Parts: sequence; C-alpha cells; structure tokens
Amino acid sequence: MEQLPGLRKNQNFISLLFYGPALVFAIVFFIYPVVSSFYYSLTNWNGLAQTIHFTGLANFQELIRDDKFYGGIRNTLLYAFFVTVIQNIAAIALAIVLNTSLKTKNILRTVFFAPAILSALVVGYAWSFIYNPLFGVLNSLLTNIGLGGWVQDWLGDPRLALGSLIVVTVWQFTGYAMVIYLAGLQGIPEELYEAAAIDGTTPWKKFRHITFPLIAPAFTINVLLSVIGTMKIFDLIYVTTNGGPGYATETMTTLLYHQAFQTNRMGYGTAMAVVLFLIILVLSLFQLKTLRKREVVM
Amino acid sequence: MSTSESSSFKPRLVLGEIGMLLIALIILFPLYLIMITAVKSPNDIAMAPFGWPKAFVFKNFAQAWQTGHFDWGFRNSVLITVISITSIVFIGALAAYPLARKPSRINNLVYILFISLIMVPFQMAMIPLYKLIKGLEWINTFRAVICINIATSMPFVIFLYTGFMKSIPKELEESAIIDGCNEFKIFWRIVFPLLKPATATVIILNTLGIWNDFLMPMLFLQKAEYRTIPVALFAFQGQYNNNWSLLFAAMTLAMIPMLIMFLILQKNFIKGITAGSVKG
Repeated sequence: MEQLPGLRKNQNFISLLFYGPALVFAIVFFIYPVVSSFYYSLTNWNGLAQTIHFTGLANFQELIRDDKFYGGIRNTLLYAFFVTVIQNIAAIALAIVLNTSLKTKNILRTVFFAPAILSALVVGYAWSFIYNPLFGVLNSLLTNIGLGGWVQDWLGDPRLALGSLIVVTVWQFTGYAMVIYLAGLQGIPEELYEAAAIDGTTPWKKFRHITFPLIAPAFTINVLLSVIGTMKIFDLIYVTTNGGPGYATETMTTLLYHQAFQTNRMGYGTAMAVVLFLIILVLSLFQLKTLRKREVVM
Repeated sequence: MSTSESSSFKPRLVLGEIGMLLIALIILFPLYLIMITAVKSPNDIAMAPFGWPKAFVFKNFAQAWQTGHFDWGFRNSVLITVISITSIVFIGALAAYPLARKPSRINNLVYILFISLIMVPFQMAMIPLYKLIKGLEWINTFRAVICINIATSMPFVIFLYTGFMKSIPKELEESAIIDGCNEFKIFWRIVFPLLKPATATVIILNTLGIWNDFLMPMLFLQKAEYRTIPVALFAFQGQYNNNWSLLFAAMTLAMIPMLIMFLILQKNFIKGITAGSVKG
C-alpha cells in the first residue's frame, strides 16, 4: 500500500528508535575505531608523543621493505592454508562415518566438539606441556613405543613450531566443523543414495556426485570460518611461542600487537592492521564467489 | 541402502565404531591430561607425566584458587558475560526488527552497514580503540569491555536475528497493528517471544566468545581485581610457569564452568552452532 510522505518519515523515525542503540554502540566502539585505523596508518603516531604527524604512505613503504612483515604474512597464510585444508578433510570424513547410524553417534559428536569450548589459553598451556622437550608427553610416548629417534623440541625448533601449532588448532576445531557438516549430511534425502545403489555406484562416485555437492553450503561456511578464524589467530600463539623461536611463528596479529603495544609504534601497527583487513576481505570475497557457485539449491 | 546389503554392512559399522572410539580417545587425551596433572605433585609429574597419580593432591585447587585470585576472576567473568549477553540480545533483536520488517532505503543501508562489518577483524579497531578507552579513562572498568563486546557482536547478531525474523510469518503482527498496538508492544509481546531459537543461538555463540576472550580484556583489564578468568590465568602462568600442577589446577578451574554448561546444554550448543552457520 502507498504511504504518505509524512507517515514514511514517522516510520523511519520509529525504525531509528529500534536500531538506534545498536548503531550508537557500533559507531562509537567499532566503526569509528576502524575508520580511524585508516587515518592512523598514514601517521607516525607512536602512542607516547602528544603530536601525531601525517606521513602519507611512509608506513606502507616501510612495510614493503620489512622482512619480518613478509615472514608474518607467510606464516599466517601457511597456517591458514594447512589448518583449513586438514580440518575440513578430517571433519568431512568424521561426519560421514558418524552419519552411518553408529550407536555412539551422539556421544562421539559431543566428544569431538568438546575442545572447541575451551579458551585458547587452556589449550595452549596443555599442548605446551604435551610438546615439552624435557618431560613432554609426546616425546615420552615416542620413546616408549620405540620411536626415540623422532623425539623433537616441537615448539622450540623453528622448522617445527608452526606445524605443531597447526596440529593444535586442527585438534581444537575439527569437531566444530564436523558438527556443521553433520547437519548438512542429515539434510540429504536417503532416496538419492538408494537410487545410486540401484545404479551400482562406487562409494567415491557417491561422495563426488551426491554427498559433496549437497554439503556445499556447509563447505562454504566451514572454509570461510576456518580462513577468517585462522587469519586472526592471536591468543594461541601469544601464549605458546609468542612468535618465536626467532620469528618462526610470528603472524600478522602477533607482529602488529608487538609493534603497537611493546615498541609503541601505533601508526605502523595500524598500517599492518589495514593490510591484514585487506587480505581477509579479498580472501573472503573470493571464496564466497567461487564456493557459492558450487552450491546446489535444494 | 538396500535391506539385503545391511546385514553385510554390520562388520563395517563395528569397525567404524572402533575407529571412531580411538579417535575420540585421542581427542579427549589432552583434557584427561589437564585434569590428571592438576591433582599430581611436581615429583609425580616428573616421574610419570601421563600416568595415573600416585596420590591425589587436591590442595592444588585451593592453592591455585587463592594465589591466582580466581574468586575475582569468576566474579568478573560472570558479571561481564551476563551483562554483555543480556544487552546483546535486547539491543540486537530490537535493531533487527525494523531491518527485517520495514524495508526502506535507509533501513537497507543500515542493514548493509552492519553486515559489512562481519568481516572486519577486531585487530582493525584495536589500536584506536585503546586510545579511545584510555582517553575516556575507562581502563580497568567493566563498561569498557562490555561496550566493546556489544559493539563488535552487533553485526553477526543482527545478521542472525534479521535472517530468522524474515522466516517467521507476519500475520500475527499485522493483526496486532489493526488492533492498534504500537510498534514497541508488537515487538515485545509478539515478535521477541517468537525469536527464541535465534536468541538461543545468539546466547550460546556469544557466551563462548566472550567467556573465552583474551586479547581484548587483556588490553583493558590490567589490575588484578578486574581481570577475567583468561587474563587471570595468563598472569598466573607468568608467575608460576614452572609449577605445572598448580597451573593445571588453575586451568581445570578455568575450564570447568564452560564444560559443565556444555554437557548440560549440549543439544542447544550443537543446534546453536549449526543454526549460526547454515543461515550464512
């Protein structure tokens, strides 16, 4: 029905009353800081001096020449890539097995999901203990089963530290991803598989042509959640290796934290945050575009 | 699966069951390790790092509780989580109502503004936020953390509520308009109660995030009496980093509330997680 202009104005005002509180909180404590990050990334703000000078693209020019920053980007991308790939393959496999009417299905689902409710600190300290080179559980276990040659300083060796942290994250969040896949699998009508059984399809073909296309929405959201979550990883690294040994596990977020709050280079830190944001934005939009295409509308 | 096949499928099911139980044991092992280490003496840890304790040292918990000031930690975490979540639910549901029900150019713009914030990482706001909170002299106040929790959760919460609201029929609201109810009454009496499933999702996802949050409270709650559990645990680890049994006792204390919540409400957790994701 056609509304009068005065009525529409009134309607907009009522709407504003409803979303006003949310908008005020978002503007003051989120949008305004985000927008000012763009501004501060163009300044030499160091957190201590009273004056903040506009320095143009100087921070970004420095970033381009900063080897540590490249290391941070590389570590972040490696970590995001491996966690996303391993976690999603493992989660799909677990979900498919769980979906085959196991008696212990509900208990297993609860167990697999449980690590996801822990804080990164509890997880980080527990795994530091497991990985400890002197009395760590992993090394004792390897020695006990006759694999003493595999004993390593899991978090202290620059070649292994990032991989060890990837294992921790996969351990913590595979169950979370699995729960989402399981919901997707339960939505697939049994008739499709029955039809395929009559045609005598192989299990792989069944997966390739029925299961996977139909869990594509779950795949999209899981990949997106993994990538965004891992790109922002901070807590786990901060409490286990703090970016070390050397710079072996330094990610974009630990680097920008160190720049901003330990060396007080706030302007330079915000420049890093801007780059992090742009990378996440490009990756998420790219994924949404490519993955959405694969989805089947039921 | 055809019925003739199902009998030959049983051995495979048993095999699957055994394989999955093994994986479950591996997944549970770190949790077992945390709790078992918490009740060991330092000597016992050195001798048998993952064996059953020789003697249960329960005083580790009392000692960790006192020296780590976890009484303050619990009080602060509960306070911050409860106030944040309550505010998030009301402010978010209120905001979603016109965005879902009253399409207009301004409302669509506001909706797009909120949704586009979903992909912005907290780190993008972190450094200027620190300056802002310092300028307001809000360091070591709960309101700093609560306001930031509300602000940063709004995009996803509004996204969830708006999506859910669009899926429920409008007839009830329309008949209430004809009866002359005002918009707030309609929202409060009719719409809000219908949002229960979405509210459960909002509560679960945000409780997990806020209860376990570390970076943001670490920045703003530095004084011991204002720390949340994760921040208190971090400080505790800095002090007792060689005393694994005390640290693990503290970790057990830190993880138990969420673990119990999860075990009681596991169905809601699973539903919340899936509802929060497939809507995307």
